[in-house]
Amino acid sequence: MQSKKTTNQRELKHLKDALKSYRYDKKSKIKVGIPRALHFYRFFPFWKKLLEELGCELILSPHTNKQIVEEGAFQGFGELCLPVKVYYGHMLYLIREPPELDYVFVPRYVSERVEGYFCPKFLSLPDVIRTLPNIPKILTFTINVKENPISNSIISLAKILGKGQREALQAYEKAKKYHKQYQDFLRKGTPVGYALKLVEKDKPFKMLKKKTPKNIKFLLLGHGYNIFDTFVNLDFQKKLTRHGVDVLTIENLPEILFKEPVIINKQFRPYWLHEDEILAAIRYFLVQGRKEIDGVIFLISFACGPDSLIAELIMRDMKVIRLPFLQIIMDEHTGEAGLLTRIESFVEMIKRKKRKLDAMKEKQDLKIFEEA
Amino acid sequence: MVQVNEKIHVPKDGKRNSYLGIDVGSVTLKFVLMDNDQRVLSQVFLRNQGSPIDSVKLGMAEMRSQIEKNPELQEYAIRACGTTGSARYLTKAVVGGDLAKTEIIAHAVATQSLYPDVRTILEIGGQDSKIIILRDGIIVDFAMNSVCAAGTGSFLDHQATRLNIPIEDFGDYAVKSKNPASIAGRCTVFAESDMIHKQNAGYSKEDIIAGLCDSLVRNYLNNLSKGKDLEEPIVFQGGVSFNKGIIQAFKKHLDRKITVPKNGLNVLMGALGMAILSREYYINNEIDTVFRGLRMTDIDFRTRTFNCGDCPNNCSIVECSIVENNEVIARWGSRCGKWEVF
Repeated sequence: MQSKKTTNQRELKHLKDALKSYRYDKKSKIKVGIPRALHFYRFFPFWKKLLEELGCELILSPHTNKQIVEEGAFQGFGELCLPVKVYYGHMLYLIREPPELDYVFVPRYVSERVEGYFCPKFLSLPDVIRTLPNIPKILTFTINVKENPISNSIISLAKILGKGQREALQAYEKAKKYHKQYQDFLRKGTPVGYALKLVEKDKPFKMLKKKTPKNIKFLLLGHGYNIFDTFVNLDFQKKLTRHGVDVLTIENLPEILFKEPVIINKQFRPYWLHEDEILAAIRYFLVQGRKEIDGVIFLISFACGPDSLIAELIMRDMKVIRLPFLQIIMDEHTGEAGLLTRIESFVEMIKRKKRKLDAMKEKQDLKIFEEA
Repeated sequence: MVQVNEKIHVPKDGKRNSYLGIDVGSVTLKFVLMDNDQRVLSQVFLRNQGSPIDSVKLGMAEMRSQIEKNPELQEYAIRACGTTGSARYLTKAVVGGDLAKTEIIAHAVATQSLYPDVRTILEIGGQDSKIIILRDGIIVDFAMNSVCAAGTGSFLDHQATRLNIPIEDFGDYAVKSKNPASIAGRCTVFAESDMIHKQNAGYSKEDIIAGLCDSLVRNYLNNLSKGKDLEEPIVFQGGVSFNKGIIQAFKKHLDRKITVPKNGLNVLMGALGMAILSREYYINNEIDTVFRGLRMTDIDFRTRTFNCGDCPNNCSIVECSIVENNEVIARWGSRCGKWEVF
């Protein structure tokens, strides 16, 4: 008799739980997965504000790890570059791991300003991702200012999520404002990795404690997904810091540098947006900013067409102004020895140069030194 | 090289100062013992034996026997020890080195000490090749070969075995050739098939070898120099600089004078550089060396690798310890820095 009662009670509890979770489900938000790869490192704060305002709950893939890279490399075929393979890996993680997603967010970035395009791999991303097995519905919008203002794209995105035009525009305004705050925060010299962490945890933009500046300062050039994905680049920035180097990235530079497009000659107009940014950043250090940095490092992923082109242009400029320049090409390689040898040599070369120049300064009259 | 204040601190043992530089490359191992006036006291040059630890022990034993035979050398004590080469960290842990620097720095320092006005250094070793550009005694640029080992000593070594010629005689064959065969040098795999075609078509060994040297130099210049100004004086070093055929090919392509360090120093430059840097380190820091001494050959070391498994990265960790007391002297390989012991 007694045991029967307990069974009933148990059943009742089970039913109650089920009801509770059902109610929760009804109230719960649309679950949208975002892979932590490619333009995540550039647009995440914007997406986060936008999608959350439109009633979504964001699920992020973890930081890149060995399994993600291996799976991505296995799935990625043909002439794909490493960052896209890593994107595949993150997407596969989102598909495989709980919770079940309503959508994965794969925006199509075609053009952000009238006179430039994103890399073709960004243009075709939603179509390519569709081929992955068991992929949930794809949530996408197309940013192409050559044809449509961004607000129109946002309205059509909101429509998929069941929101009206007014809500869409409101969300867009908020997201824009938030992204601006984020960019300003970076321009004060905050490392991107730290800022993204704050965004992810919904924390206010509070500056890191100012560290005493180090003796050597490098400009680290390259695409965000190469520079801030610490797995792919074998924690490049940390290695530099460990050798006593301060690192500056494009995101830390003042906005004004990027206002005017770079024109190399009449035949070579700026074409790719990211590359244009890199060239604009370097242009500043060719003239006014020459004394602000001690060296430039350019991180390239293997098989990146646009990067290979401008690397040559940068190398020529660096030769003229005699700024030490190191170009590093990365692939799935995880052996650190080669990378370490190059970093150590580069840093040591600059340290010795500084020491020697200082010794010369002490010896000679300051004036003679400056003339030389 | 930066001249430092010469306030040399002399320990109480009354012995004269000497400094040891060790260069563990991919194929060979080099030891240089140097005195305060940058005079080479003793040197060792060996082919690697299996693991770097075994090779280093063998090299150390060789150095020890040289010192034991020579009473003059016994007046010296090793005050600092530096390592370079691809196995520099492991070697540093095993011998108790005071500093480890990259090959680029070591080579540049050594070359500058012998040729103070050097402007270009060409170095071709067993598995990598480098180019170092100096201006006014300052390293301003360098390049190393990328993923591919085409155009390095290993390739020549392999081809010499295939042609059944000792690698030492390779250069002599090359300089005898009057009409070098043209061999594709972009990739060693293609170069080899091209070579076999030429062999089967009846070209003489001399012509093929000269062609090979030529293609290696072309490959080196394409891959590394890439628009750098290779100004005189040019110093060529590393194991491949023994090869007269390569020197000839460099002269032909660059149309400049090429200097090769004499007395076997061309292969010892890395180790010599480390000895010089050790001296610099000792004079600047005035601290006692952590060098285990020549008796390190009696210590048994053990290395093992294991996978961490605490996160999806599953890093492979390398651990080196002393067998006798299980003391871990070095451990590395994790991305997060968890297991690190230096």
